[in-house]
Amino acid sequence: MNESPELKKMREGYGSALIDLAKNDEKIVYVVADSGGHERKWFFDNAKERLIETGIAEANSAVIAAALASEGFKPFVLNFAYLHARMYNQISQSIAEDNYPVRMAGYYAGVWGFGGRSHNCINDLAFMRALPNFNIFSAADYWETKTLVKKTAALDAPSYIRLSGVPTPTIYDSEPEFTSFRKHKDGEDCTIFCHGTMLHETLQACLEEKMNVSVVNIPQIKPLPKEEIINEVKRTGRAVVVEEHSYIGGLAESISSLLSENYPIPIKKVCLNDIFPVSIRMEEKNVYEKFGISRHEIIKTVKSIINQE
Amino acid sequence: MEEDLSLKTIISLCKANVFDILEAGAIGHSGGSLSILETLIALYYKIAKIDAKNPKWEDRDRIILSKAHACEAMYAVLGEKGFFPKEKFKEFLHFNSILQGHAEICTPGVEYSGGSLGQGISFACGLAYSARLKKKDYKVFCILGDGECHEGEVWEAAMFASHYKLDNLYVIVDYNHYCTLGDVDEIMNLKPLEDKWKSFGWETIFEKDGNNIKNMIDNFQKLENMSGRPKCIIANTLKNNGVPSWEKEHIHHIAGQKLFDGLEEGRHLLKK
Repeated sequence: MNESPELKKMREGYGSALIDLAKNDEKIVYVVADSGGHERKWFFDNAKERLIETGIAEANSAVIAAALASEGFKPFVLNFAYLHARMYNQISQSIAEDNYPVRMAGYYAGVWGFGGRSHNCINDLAFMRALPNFNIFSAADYWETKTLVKKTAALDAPSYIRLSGVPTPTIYDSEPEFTSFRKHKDGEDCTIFCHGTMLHETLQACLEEKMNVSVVNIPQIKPLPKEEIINEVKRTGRAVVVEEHSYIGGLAESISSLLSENYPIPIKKVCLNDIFPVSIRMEEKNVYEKFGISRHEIIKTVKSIINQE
Repeated sequence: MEEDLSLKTIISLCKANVFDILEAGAIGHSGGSLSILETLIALYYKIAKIDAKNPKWEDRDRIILSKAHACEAMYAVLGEKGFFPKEKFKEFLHFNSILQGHAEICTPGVEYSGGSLGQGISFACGLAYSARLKKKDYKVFCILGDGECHEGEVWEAAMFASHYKLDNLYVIVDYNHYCTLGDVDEIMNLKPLEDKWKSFGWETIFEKDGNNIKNMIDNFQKLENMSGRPKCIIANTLKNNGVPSWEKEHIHHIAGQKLFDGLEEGRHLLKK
């Protein structure tokens, strides 16, 4: 882990990984709806026919991507996370039903962004998880984004990667190897499961407060690494799930459901409330504090679960 | 003349197939199936390059039934053409049948799993664009319902096809004038429909008798000679064509006694 983390946009990682892949694989096509960053320019300059622009018509773009996948191409589709709700019926019928390997990614997931209630999407995991055949991922930083883009490129099934919209602290210093379950810290009293931006916040909590806890990053939300999660809590006997997502339908609910059926233990959540998040400036301080998912909330919750008998 | 006669026979056989399929399911979308039957026969028998023995043949033309509720017509023609044994008609809507309540790719020959409207034309655009990437010259035919043109996605796709000059894409709008609950133009006015397609940059033909197979074949051939733009035929058709009691009521989907009465009527008229 980096000592003094650099802030980098996950979207930049997405773009550079996609360019790396597209240079060596002519089957990769990029379907955009007036979306994309430097990778869009790369396609425009180097592989114009493989850049398929639909204009601001996301529903159309999702189905066009499905058709390209049905013809053996490897479509990547990048858009705001919230727009996956707009495309939902198209994703469900045209992509998921017939299991076409369309690689989707949604940025601006979470509370941090100036877009406000319409744009800051905190329920994307809830609605994307409900789609049969979909593989769902969440990136913890720039580097893990690259890993996940490459992972989804190799999958022969539809996928969604959740990305933050703002520059976030880098945790890794190069592309980590893909795993659905990555332990960052070992401890005995409790396991903290997290994903995305909350991995950094959780690790910071552990630096600020001496806690005998495990910290596990779950970059693969669906299918969940069930056995690894169960085996982990068999050792610690308690779990806290931390995510920059609504408490409805995200990792917290998913792990709660898994453990209540297979290995019931005390579980607590540090998640967002059932809200539409307001606009936030990039310079705003203590954003996670304001939304109740800060490192201090994590420390408080861990203490309370350890002390509760 | 001989050819016309054989097409007439094929139409009768396929119509009988539609009746058998509806009977097997005891429910179904009779209206939109019987309005589009001649167009499907024109495509599968005269216009499209297809091979029933090799449904996934790379160079085939792709036929997309965007109005996937008209699956009974699709199954009737695919079965007649030999994509699957006609005995399968008996299994329509039965548990795990290859003949589902909306056209889906589990049926040999079906290229797109539809149901929710407006999406098939986007899929057809994606296929037409794929032909360009693959440097193939296959065509894509997409059948839309008239009520389906209420969907915004249809016009997103229409813009896309025109922007990319997808002249290997043909859309047929089944203008049978009725959606589920009434006159399509009273529910939400589509007129002037021909001008709409033209203004989106499509070569557009209005066919006033879309149940006349010969006219439809002529229209496809006429459009084939045009290049540089996507192509559209607005086919003025009759909903429930061939079953007068259903025609009169503009039935969308049919079940119960009305279904069985109509089947008797339709089969009787076919024998004439």
